[in-house]
Amino acid sequence: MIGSANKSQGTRILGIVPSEEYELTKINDLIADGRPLKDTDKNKIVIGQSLVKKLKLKLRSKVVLTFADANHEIISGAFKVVGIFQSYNSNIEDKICYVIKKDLNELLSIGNNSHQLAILLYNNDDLNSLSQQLKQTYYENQTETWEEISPELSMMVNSMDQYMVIFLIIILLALCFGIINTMLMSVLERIKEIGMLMSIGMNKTKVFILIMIETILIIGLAIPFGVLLAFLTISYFNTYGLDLTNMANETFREMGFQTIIYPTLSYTYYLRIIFIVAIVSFLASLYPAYTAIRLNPVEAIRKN
Amino acid sequence: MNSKTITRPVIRTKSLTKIYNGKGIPVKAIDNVDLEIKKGEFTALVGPSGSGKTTLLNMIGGLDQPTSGQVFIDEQDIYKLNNNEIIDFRLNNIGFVFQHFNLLPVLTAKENVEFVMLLQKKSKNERNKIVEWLFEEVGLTEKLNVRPNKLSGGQQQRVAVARAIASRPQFVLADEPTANLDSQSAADLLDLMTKLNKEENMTFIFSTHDQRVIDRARRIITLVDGKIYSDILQNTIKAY
Ligand SMILES: Nc1ncnc2c1ncn2[C@@H]1O[C@H](COP(=O)(O)OP(=O)(O)O)[C@@H](O)[C@H]1O
Ligand SMILES: [Mg+2]
Repeated sequence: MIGSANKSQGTRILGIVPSEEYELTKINDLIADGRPLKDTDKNKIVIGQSLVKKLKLKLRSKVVLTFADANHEIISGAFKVVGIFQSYNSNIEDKICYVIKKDLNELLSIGNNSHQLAILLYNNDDLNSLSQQLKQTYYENQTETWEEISPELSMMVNSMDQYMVIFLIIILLALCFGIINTMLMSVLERIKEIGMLMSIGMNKTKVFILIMIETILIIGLAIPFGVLLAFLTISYFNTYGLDLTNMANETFREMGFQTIIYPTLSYTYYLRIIFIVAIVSFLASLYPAYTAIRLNPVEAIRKN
Repeated sequence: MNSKTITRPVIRTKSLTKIYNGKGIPVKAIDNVDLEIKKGEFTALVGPSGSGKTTLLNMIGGLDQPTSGQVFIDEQDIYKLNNNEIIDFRLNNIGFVFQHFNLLPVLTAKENVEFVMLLQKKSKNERNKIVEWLFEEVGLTEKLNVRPNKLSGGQQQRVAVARAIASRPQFVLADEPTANLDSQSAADLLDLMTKLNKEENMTFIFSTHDQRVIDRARRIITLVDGKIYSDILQNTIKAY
């Protein structure tokens, strides 16, 4: 329970080790007023914006935290507000406040114990194997993956993947029509040229191959360019973040998402896309090439 | 008469007929034409617009399937050949000069001429020899590496003639080759064709309605409404 001079209310109190916590949850980025906690702080607290309003607090206000210790005895301690955070998840804003773990442990007299250990993986593919391992070796009932903690998020990520496939199909269709359109234009623009070539003895196989080679050259130029562009864009936003605050702040906050996105794309994904694009382009060039060999050279050269 | 002129016809048409089914009413563009062209002839195909000159040249050139009748080239019934065979036949036996659009704009004059020989899979050595000789003949040695848009209309048509004979064809078909040229360029082109006819015994058949070009021909075939109206040999050839 957290109390001010005016009012009190229930809340969760999290004791953190700031330097380590910030590596993982980046809550220090969420400070709207004041400053984040430091490792050297003593009896300082950071609370959410909505709690500030409810308890009529401001920076440097004193609050009293009251809770039961390990022996079920009620204890309390005074803390000074040094920072106010605004969460990307509006639901947790008044349900959580942060203090230094050491202060909390002293009040609870539990030495240097911890209650929660978060592990951030480099690769989400390792999620299940690691959680399995942890369950077997250490914490049978106390290991939870993020998918178990937040099944709705996991579902959303999965449906997002399905959306991506649909987007990909739409983009590939657009690509297909783009190539057909470009190459068809290029064939139709050169009806006389192609008709002349066929008249003087260039056979249909060669005309077909000519159009195919032209398409392959265009694709061969376009793919590296596109990949480079994608790589640069993704790298940029991976470093500086893609800020969607202005677009969907409230929606994202309600769903508990951060409004700054740091996109990544694995190189296998690049390879897969290059492969798919190459195949699709190849198939799309068949139709313009087929159109070219169906040209009647007489009609082609008669046109003025 | 040219001593090399042999009696064997290089082109022979038999009851050649072409009917176009344009907008409803069928048009008899070529009507039952029997014609022989011998090796080494220098023939003008004349007649008013719409008389069937282009249609006849296209059929002789294996470009346009006749409605009925046959075209024999060296006694080969060319419309008995399948699609790709007839294209290869054109490549090796017939040279073409069109009224417009003869040259590929992205290639240089030399490359344009070389192109047909590449299709014939001639060696680089052979190609270079022929290119050198041809540009000498057409008088454009300095324009070897120039693109068509940097050439005058007359120069372009001379490159087209060079291209047409680079494949060493049996004969050259030229559909109104001088139609877009001024009279001096037209005369130059005719000089070139006459020279190639005399020196190389190259057979030329060209359509025209320019009287000064007609006067340069040895044989004049006049078409009217798709039929041969007259076919004369003239001995005195005027020069301009
Ligand atoms: N593709 C076509 N469809 C219908 N009619 C055509 C076509 N090509 C030519 N013709 C007709 O055939 C006749 C002969 O045309 P053409 O051979 O071009 O004559 P020329 O070359 O002597 O001017 C004309 O009446 C022309 O309108
Ligand atoms: Mg014509």
